[in-house]
Amino acid sequence: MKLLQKNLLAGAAFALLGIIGCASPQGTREDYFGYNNKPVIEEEKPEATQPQAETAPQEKKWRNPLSDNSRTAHVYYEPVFVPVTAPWWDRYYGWEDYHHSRVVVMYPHHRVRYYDWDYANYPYYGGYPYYDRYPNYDRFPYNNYPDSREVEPVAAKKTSRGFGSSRGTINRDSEKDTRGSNNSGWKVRGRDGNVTTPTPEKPNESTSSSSSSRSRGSVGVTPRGGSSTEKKETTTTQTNTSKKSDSGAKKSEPAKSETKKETTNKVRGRGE
Amino acid sequence: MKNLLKTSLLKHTLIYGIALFAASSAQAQFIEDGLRLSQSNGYITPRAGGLGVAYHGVSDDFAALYYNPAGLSLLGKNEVTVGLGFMRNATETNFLQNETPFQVNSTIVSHAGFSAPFKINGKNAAISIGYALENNYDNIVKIDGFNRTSSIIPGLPSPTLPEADLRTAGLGGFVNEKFVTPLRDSLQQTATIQESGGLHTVTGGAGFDLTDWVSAGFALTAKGGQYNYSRRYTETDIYNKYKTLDDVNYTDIDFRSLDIRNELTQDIEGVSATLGVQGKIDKFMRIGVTVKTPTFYQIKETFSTDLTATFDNDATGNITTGEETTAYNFTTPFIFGAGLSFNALGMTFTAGAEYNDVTQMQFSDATPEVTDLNLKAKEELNGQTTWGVGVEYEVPLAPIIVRASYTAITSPYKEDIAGADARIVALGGGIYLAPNVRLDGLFRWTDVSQLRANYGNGSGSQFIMQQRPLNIALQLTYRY
Repeated sequence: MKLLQKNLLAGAAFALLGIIGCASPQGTREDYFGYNNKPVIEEEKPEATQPQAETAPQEKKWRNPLSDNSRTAHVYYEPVFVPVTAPWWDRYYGWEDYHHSRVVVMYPHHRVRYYDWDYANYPYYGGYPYYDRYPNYDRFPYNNYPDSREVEPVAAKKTSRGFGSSRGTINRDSEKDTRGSNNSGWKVRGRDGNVTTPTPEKPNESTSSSSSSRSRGSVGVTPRGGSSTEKKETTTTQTNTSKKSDSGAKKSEPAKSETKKETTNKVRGRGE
Repeated sequence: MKNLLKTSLLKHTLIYGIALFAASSAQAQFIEDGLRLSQSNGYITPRAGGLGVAYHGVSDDFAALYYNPAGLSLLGKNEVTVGLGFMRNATETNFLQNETPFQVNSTIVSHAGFSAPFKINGKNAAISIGYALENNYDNIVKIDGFNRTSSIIPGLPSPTLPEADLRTAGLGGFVNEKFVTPLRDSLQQTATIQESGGLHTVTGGAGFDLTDWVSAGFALTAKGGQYNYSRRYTETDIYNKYKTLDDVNYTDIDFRSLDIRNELTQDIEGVSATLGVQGKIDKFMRIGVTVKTPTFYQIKETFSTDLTATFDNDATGNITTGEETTAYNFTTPFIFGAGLSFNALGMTFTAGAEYNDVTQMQFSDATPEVTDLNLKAKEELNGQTTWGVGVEYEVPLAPIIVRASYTAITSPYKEDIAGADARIVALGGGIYLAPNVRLDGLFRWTDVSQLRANYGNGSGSQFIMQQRPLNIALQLTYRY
């Protein structure tokens, strides 16, 4: 059955090609595909049924079409648009992009004036609200002033990845923590069975309260501030141990509490 | 004897030094990311693929949109064309004298396009629009070898894998405030790298005769696609060198294996333009010149790492970074191309060349680590030249046309391994199903070697990847 389907499909494809190919080719393969630096593009010929009005002799005298009583319809001439220059006092302000393209100058009293040929040269118009269409004509409503407040750009934090098909090296800046800007689920599970919160690289500021106590085989989980934290920087209290080495930390002496910026990471207890 | 000892010591110091250097560096994005975007492994149409870069000299059908749009004015008829391709990408890696072959197959739509000629002021012109696959990233690489001199572990600490997390996972600890790991060598290393995705283009353009013998053309291209990278990397203590846990000085760890999974997805969007001029000499010769403007790309990346360490007592440590994202811009260099062809007795000889100064690639709006690559590209890369010759022959008394070409692409690196210059051999042909319908076929072999590294840049982590993709494609062209 599958073979039949395949054969049918192939047959249909070739039949289609045949039909397309035989669809009135007028010429040789050289005409269609040959190396030709001067191909002839066939232009569409005007059909014989076209009205002959255009080809009518031009020397014929003009005659008022209304005087021809035999005609039942009159020729409709397409309107022709020509550029028109309107004087400045007679311009229509409804639809042009005129207002948006010119320089706007703000004055301390928040009045808007345009420095353009029509106003710059005739400052006395600017002083009269009823001439400069403000505010009487509602061209520039009060709430439409240019907003001069500075807006802080939303800068997306960049992160780095550390793998790929490498050919070179770049220096690592391990002091800089780039995690967390867009992190969706950082998890660290220690082999010792305790919970840690990953933080920037500073061994002497290790935030891992329990990873330091590397007693193997322990299963206890010591959550610190919950199992996950918010992505945004938050302030949490952490226990600092292990100033010099894990051996010190092994003593498990909760030293002191320090305030530290938490990163975005989720923390999970270890399962062996 | 003393001298021998000294030499041996020096040698070991050197090896350790290199290993330590490798360990002290880590990478963010790579020059390869830029090169991948600056180059194309596509062939646009099977006919153009059959002539390689030498198609620059012919440029007289839909593919001219990508090579030299001025050639579109040579179309005397409307043209509809579509193509399908199949690629078998065979790779072989050589890592620590271990050769590991692998291959992956993929099927693609190579192109689909429409061109229409018309007269303008009595002169020939044509417009064309279409789709083409510019890059096919499908590739799988396997690596396997016992590494006596280095390991990925000392170099793992990075912004994405902080030392504190690695300590928690059990791969080392802090001694005198420095991260220390004894896991530095003598591990079985395996990796499977899977790359996939493609860069798709939609291009529109026009060509028109300026005089009877000179034409000009332009094309605008929008590019979009995705590049996926997935790596599973393992290191195993197959000889049980690491047996006991010394959690004071970290001289030993009862390590069994490490399993790292990296995932990366790049969403790529870009725009570029192509300008071309073509001169026609009588009826038998053409000369064309093309300028491809830089492509401006915006790239969004999503990446994650999952690391699992297993120890002799079956304990495991795990780090899951979750998905992180970053974004940056990338601008490719200008590409200058030229070609000429002449025709006699049904045979067309053609030649073409392109110059791509990849040293001018530009990362921007990115982390400092990434923008540093701009300088690195200037230090390590070279201008890349692609050249090739081709021939096309209309077989008399048979509705057949045959073609063949040879293309060479120089390595983008100043210093590279043997085989880094890509060589492409293509054989193709067409059958006239009717005077105005042709079915073209293509066989295209590429051979290129690349030097890559599993980690860092140090001795012992590098491997040679030889790629030999075979492309087979079909194209149907209908003119009316």
